[in-house]
Amino acid sequence: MDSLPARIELITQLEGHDDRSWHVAWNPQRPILASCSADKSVRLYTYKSLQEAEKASLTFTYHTTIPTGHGKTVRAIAWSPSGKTLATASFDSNIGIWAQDEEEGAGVDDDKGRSTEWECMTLLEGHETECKSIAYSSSGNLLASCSRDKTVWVWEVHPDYDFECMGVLMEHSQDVKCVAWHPHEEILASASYDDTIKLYVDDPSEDWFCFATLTGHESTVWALAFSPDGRYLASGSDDKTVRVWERVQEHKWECVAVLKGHERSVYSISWGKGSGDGLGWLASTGGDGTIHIWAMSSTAAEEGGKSTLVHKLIARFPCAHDVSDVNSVVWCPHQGLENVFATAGDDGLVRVWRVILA
Amino acid sequence: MSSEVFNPNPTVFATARSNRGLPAHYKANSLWLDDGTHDIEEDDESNEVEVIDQDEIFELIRSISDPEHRSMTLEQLAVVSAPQITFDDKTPDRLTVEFTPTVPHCGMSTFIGLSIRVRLLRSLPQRYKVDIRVKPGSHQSEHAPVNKQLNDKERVAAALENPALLEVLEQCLSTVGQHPEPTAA
Repeated sequence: MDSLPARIELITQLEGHDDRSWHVAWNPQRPILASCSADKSVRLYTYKSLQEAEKASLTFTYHTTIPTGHGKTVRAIAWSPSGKTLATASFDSNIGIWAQDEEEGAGVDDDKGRSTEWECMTLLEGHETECKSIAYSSSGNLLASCSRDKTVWVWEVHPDYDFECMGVLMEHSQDVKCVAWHPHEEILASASYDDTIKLYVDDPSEDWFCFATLTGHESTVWALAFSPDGRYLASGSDDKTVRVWERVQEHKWECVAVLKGHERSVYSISWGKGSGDGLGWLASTGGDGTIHIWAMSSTAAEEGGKSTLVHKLIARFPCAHDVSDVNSVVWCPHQGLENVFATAGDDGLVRVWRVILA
Repeated sequence: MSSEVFNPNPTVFATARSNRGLPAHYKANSLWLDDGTHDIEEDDESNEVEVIDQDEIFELIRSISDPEHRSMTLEQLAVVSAPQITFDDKTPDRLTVEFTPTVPHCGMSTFIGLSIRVRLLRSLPQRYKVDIRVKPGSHQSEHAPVNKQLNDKERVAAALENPALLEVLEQCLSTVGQHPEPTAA
């Protein structure tokens, strides 16, 4: 038996996709969970948290399906920080921007309890091949996307669903698998099939440029996640490891930890606040179907020295989607639900879990 | 696919007679083994986890057509063979299929590997995790990128949504389950 200090408990299973489910995303403002799939659709669920006799229960209700109209797999989804807009990245190379018609009511349901439809407000074309990841900056003013065409695009978000391309970054030599924004600064990270991670900032007088290339992974880098405080960046790779990079100077990041334990590719990681002190909880999952939860913390800085990152595996759950690969793991961003996360698997299912400290 | 012939005169090898018939539910295009179409007799055994061996894996891939020489199978060109299929000692659901391209051409190797991957994806129970690799030494220094591509699930998924590629793939897979008369050894 595991002698780990926490356990992972299944809250619910959300069915409905007809094919592999690739990604899940929690709406940052409203109680909505979205998932996307090779079946080209996005499914939305609403949830309620009820405090019942010391144990909080979380119930999920199917809300609606967005058929999307994408010609191929919907690979990734991202909510804007306002929670009003959803972006979809598809293998058909396009990005869909979805919102509810505000005149029909801003809520999930109108006054008669009917759902207001999610409509495609704009379609961003530009990538030449499969779009694989998409992310909004913390302010919501910028959107980043990446593709097998080796490029990363930075789009500026204007009113009325107008987007302006601010830069096409051609730094990687192969497919770009993932993009992620720093939690409070306009720093963009991208991960690639070329085994590297690149970091970019905007030069006010010039354009977006790459200021650092992080090397160390021995195969494709599939996933990226900044720590909630922004001091660290974690990356998950086909080399079966998770690396953690620390910002040691304004524009310098160094690898400070290599987390091992997965038996196949790490496809997804998520760094949430977790419970208690420290730097939060890092969840990882992938081709071995196992979920790992690591408690991240740092030791107090010694005199004249610097603090050291400490990682401790606190929970582990094998066969999280039975025999299937797990493609996505994402922590719930809402206060009081810091121990809740969702996963998406090759079995087309979305599962919601909680971590319980013993 | 290019019309250029990379290997105009391939060596043809004698094939073995299939020594075991495949169960009826190993249909050429069946997505999963357990597709609900098998009869009651098989359902009775469904509590036991079926163990699949090297020969059965070989049986699934031996009659895939070579993309360049469509009238010949991967077995006839010695691209695949039973000894090149290995199972993980600790995890028997994880297996590696090595293949030996007839010519060191990257695009063709990738395509052959993809046809093996798709055949196994459609035929094996979902619990099997398959790695596909070019036999070391058979493909000069080019084999690393081919292996990487064949084992990137996202690239494989995207390739299968490419109608032109899928059409050629389906043609190469249309011969699976059919065995040519064994040639005289």
